[in-house]
Amino acid sequence: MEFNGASLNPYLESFINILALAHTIIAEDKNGVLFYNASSPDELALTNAARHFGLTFTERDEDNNMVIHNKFTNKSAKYRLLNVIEFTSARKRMSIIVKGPDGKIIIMTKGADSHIIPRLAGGQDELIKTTERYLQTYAEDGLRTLILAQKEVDPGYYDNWSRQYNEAQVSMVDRQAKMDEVSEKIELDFTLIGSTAIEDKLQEEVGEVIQHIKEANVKVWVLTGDKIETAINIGYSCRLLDNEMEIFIIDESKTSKIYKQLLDFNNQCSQLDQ
Amino acid sequence: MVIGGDSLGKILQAQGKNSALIDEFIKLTDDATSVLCCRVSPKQKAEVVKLVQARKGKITTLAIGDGANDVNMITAASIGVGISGLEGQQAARAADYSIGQFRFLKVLMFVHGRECYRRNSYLVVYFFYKNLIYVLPIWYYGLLSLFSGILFYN
Repeated sequence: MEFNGASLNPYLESFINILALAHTIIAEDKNGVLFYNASSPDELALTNAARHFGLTFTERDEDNNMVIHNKFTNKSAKYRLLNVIEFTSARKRMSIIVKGPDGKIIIMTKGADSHIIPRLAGGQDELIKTTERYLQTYAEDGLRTLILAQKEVDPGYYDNWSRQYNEAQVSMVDRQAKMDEVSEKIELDFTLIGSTAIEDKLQEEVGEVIQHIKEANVKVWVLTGDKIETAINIGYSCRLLDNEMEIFIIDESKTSKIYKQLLDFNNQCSQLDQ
Repeated sequence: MVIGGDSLGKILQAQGKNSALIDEFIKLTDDATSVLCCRVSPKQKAEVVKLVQARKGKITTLAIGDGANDVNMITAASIGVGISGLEGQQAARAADYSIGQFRFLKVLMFVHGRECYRRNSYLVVYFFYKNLIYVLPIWYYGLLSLFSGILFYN
């Protein structure tokens, strides 16, 4: 890509900035070539995307600064890494707190829409609606979606919070629960920045294998952390589902309603059998 | 059938309390060709495997996964298969069998699995045969030697 000193749109820049910063990747310099070591392929994809769009995460230096190289201005910015609140499957989000080159403390987060949208600040309804519409289409295409959001934190508030968080981190009992509780306090009132979608490519011959397994009369259950739309789409692409199948979707949160749905579907099943 | 995270959570919670709900759920999964559970947490993955095992009695469950979030499920299932790959080694380490790609599951189940079963059954049958052949001469010789303890085989 040719940049010719063009500048990034500020909204776009903050979006790509989150991609470049909110991760736990370790960058390695192998004979002048930059390598990323990531614990999850998703993070790797996102940080590589940021690199592609001009903001390269180059290293984490000795002083715990994350260095981001901007291709447009050809300058490097240092973000001091203050805290990383790690991803857990219960939280379904990861946050990173950094002190920017301008001295502002910013918390950036990325995670599942179901867990981030409730933590957004008010007055963004329009934007949330648009984003949700996009997420819906992404999910229907079988893509894995994430939401990015950030917030500027008041330094005084941060100091106070940071103390609590450190206390929780060294606690001998219920450490995880305490850390989660403290994290909740700062992961609030975010500004929605955008959403990402990643294709999780199936491995070779997955469809064929599943077909064979089904022919052998083995019952296949798929347990996934993805949302329903994504899961159904992947179900089709790995031949778990096909067009001749009747699909029953159970997605209620009330026990009585689930029971009713189950009864209903069981009735339909016996009718289909006849 | 497709089931969402909230619903699955409620069904798993109902264990031991609301057996009618679970009965209906299991009945529907019996009729379904495949079951898709979405928004499942790692803990729930294991719970689903345990629920099926508890409800269906004599069945064999196989769980296959590649990520750290599949570890619980892999350890809960009768046979755990881990794929070692991009998402790290946790799943492969916790598993009974570890494979490099999903497609090898076919070979694992239908070639090695079936062959293992066949060879084991063959061995059991052979075991009876061998014991018969070994013991009968001793026994007949015992009749001849008035069970005096003389060895037939030297």
